[in-house]
Amino acid sequence: MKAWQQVVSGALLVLAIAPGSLRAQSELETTLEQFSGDAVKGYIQPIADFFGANMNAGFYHTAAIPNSGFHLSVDIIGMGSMVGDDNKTYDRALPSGFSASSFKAPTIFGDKDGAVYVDPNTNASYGSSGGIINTSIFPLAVPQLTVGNFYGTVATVRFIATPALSDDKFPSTTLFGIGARHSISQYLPEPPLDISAGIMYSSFTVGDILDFKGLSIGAQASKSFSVLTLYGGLAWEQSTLGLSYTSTSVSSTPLVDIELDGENNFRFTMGAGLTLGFFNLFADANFGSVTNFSGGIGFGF
Amino acid sequence: MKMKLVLFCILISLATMGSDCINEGFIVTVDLPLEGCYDINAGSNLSFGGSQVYVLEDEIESTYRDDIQAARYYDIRVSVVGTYNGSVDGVARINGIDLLDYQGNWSDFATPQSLLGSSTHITPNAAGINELISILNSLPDPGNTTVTLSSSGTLAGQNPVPSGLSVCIEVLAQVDSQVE
Repeated sequence: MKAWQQVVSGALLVLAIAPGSLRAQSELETTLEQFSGDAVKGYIQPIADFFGANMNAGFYHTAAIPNSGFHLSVDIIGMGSMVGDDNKTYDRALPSGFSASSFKAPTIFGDKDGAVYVDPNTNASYGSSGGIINTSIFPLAVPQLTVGNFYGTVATVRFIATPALSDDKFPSTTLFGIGARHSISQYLPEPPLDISAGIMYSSFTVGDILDFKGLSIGAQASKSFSVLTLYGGLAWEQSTLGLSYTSTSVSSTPLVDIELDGENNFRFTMGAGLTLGFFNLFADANFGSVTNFSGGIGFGF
Repeated sequence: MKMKLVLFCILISLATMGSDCINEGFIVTVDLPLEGCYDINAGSNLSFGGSQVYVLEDEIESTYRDDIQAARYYDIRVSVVGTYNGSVDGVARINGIDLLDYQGNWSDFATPQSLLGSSTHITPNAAGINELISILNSLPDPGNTTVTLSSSGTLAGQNPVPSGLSVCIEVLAQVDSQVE
């Protein structure tokens, strides 16, 4: 078996090991159910921002797309978004009667011990849950298959399913993405750079109650120097986190069904890649409302 | 085959590297509402009363019963159900100890009167508040903790009393549970 055939069959093996759908609810989901619909927005918003930024990363590492000829590559891409201090607290509303209207409470990335507000006038106190995730970089990883070239166009598919982690604290996940890029430079006479444009749609389901959707539309440019390729791009993107559960909070209607928009709507990407035979190594930085990095290794021809 | 194994290991390592950042021992704050509604019989008897016993273990989501770190109350509210042309004067008790007195026109309580909101229709009793705090401090052993919430009082005004009236006492509390 040739090397690229081994790679493809290995990737297919990985894609086939999706976890079963029947399982107990994770602690993340049970914890979210303790929040009212209003309070959970602040608690979970950073994860909407980071998942959105991660999902739309790593889509490309070159803008060079030949007009014809068979192309197949499999990439394993890791992404990470920077978690700052401002992502660790939010203003949680207090029940009516407290002298303040809100207090600083931990987000899902905040202090694990939670926070308690004590009213200076009445000594009445009100608490909020602590953070579940402790990290300075919020990661995601996914295999990506790219097939072309059809009139200067490549199609990309990404998929991964992970089981519940840390003794069911974090639920199982399923990520699916599909996109296409088309060569623009093929229409230009002797362009100094390779230029392409692309679109990608992603969905990411976390457990039974979290559902992310993302869309990215952008333009890419790259320039190759022997084995080195410098690339970059601009993209408009949108991501939405849908959250649906039955709340146990007394200050909430039982059914919570909300949508949160990811913070990142514009992305500027700068990166570099090395091509060594069938292998590619690449890494890039993405700047927008959320700073994000991605990188990986690819095999293809 | 080696290539498949290497690819598999890289991918699973990347995909699950988030597991190391899941906090051990994070606090989940769970609402613990204790609410009792006491029906008032229709007819000429203007007095009412009733009680309800709570096993705290049954009031806390099972996931969070085992490692309770703290508990607190933040409000006690009195409200009424139904329409009555007159006033109500009563007392709410916790484990038989006066928790608060409430008094006012029936219609005043159509909107819940809140201790936290410094309602003029509610007068807290220190002994009852201390009993409530003592009960909450007895957690983290909810299995052995019961609470009896009761209320009695009288109506004045419209007679006979129409059907469908009740007085509700709600203690709003929270427990902090540690999840390992």
